[in-house]
Amino acid sequence: MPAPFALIVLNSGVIHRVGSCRLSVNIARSVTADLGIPTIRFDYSGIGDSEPRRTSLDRDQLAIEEIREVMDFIEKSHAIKKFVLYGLCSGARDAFRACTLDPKVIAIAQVDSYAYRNFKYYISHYRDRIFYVGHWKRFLFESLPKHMSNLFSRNSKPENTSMFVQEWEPYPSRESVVSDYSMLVERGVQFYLLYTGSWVEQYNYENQFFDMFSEVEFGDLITLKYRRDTNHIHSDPEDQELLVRELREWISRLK
Amino acid sequence: MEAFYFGSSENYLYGIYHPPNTNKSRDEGVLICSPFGQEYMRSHRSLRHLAVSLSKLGYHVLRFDYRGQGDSAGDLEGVTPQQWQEDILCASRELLAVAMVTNLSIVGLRLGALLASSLEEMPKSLKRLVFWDPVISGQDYLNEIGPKAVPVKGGSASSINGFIMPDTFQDGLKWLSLFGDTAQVDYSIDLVVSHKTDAFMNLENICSGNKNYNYILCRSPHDWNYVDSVGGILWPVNIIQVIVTLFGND
Repeated sequence: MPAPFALIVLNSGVIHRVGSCRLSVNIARSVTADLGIPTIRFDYSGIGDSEPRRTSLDRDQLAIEEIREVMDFIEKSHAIKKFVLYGLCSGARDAFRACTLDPKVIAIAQVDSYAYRNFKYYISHYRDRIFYVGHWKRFLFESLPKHMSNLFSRNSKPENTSMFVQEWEPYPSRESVVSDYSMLVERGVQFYLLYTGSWVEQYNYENQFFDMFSEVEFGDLITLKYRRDTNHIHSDPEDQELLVRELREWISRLK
Repeated sequence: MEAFYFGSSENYLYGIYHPPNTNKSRDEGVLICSPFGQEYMRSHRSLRHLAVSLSKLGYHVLRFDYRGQGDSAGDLEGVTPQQWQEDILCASRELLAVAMVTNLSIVGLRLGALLASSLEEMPKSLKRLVFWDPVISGQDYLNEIGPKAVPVKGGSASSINGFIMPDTFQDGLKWLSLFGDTAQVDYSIDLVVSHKTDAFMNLENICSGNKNYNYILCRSPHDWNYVDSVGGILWPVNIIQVIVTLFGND
């Protein structure tokens, strides 16, 4: 008898399928070993070990096309017809877009996905600037010395001078994301959402997600987490273990 | 390109074999030894590009992940550098068997170079070692990563830029040195470095007195053990081309 669904772990940015700090490997192995759910990791074309493709599609369209190809392949080879998508950063946005286009996706886990500043964001932002001790510490011991050093260093270079970088499409309008989330809720799609402290330029308080998308009635379809002290790439092993455990528990509850 | 697992069932290793991508197949395999942790992540694209380029010159190339790293089995708990060196030897045998070649070259980047240089016994088929920005000694490496290391797992390991290095690994590193034995060797050694340091200048001196040694400076990006907020990767095209040219001249 085929598994009820399979988990697909998506690339984030230009990082290959192992994932930042080996996060994708750890998620996949934990879900498969503990829950018996098949998990697939793969590289988009042009990332990791996959060859680039000649295509007229843009990066976002091609990513969705390739996710659908993987789902079709798994369906044919393993008779699995339902899928859960996990993504961090660009992977989170890919998971969302693929879900809107393909009813085979029954749930998505998004880490640091779409975020839009709202009124409460600015209140929180300025309150933190004034009252949060950590902010002052960062300013005095990190930002200020770095700024001064850059000012006086003749050799200072932007940090991405030597890096392989990718251009990203701008976020769609909030209204369009609201409309898509509404459609997915109607379809009964389940969500795990995590926002980390690294997203502070866009997301900075516990329930901002519900305020950003207040028009959508998520009900019990959503698990929302906000971890201010966790960074985007989950470089702290404890943060990584917590995310893996939460994802495993969330997946075990999926119907 | 062919991905497969090899090695023992307890510690199976993930390998990617690039067969010659040209009509002219050489009787030589090139094994690529990656660095540790964040450096492995940051160099994946570069090492893949190197493998593809070498396969276009007719070489049989194998990239692989050490136990507990990348797509290979397990985690690093209790792992030692000596076990990673066993993995290098295991991968060497696999490459020679899969490709059915009699000559072997090894390219090591950073810690991969140190591990390859200090194997207890070099493979008999070894023809050439290429060290790219090599770590000069295990102790140097520990000194370098020390400021980034955060104790975890009750103090029995450290997290270095998000990758756990157990104490067993750190203890084993202390004894490794790039040129532990500077005796004459019957294979060639190419040192390809991206920047000047005192340690690299010492290497240059060693090379100048030995006909089998070759030192090349090609200024390129080299902040391998750097982590930014989005997990960017390094792409030093010039130095990759220098290494490809070395093999192309053979």
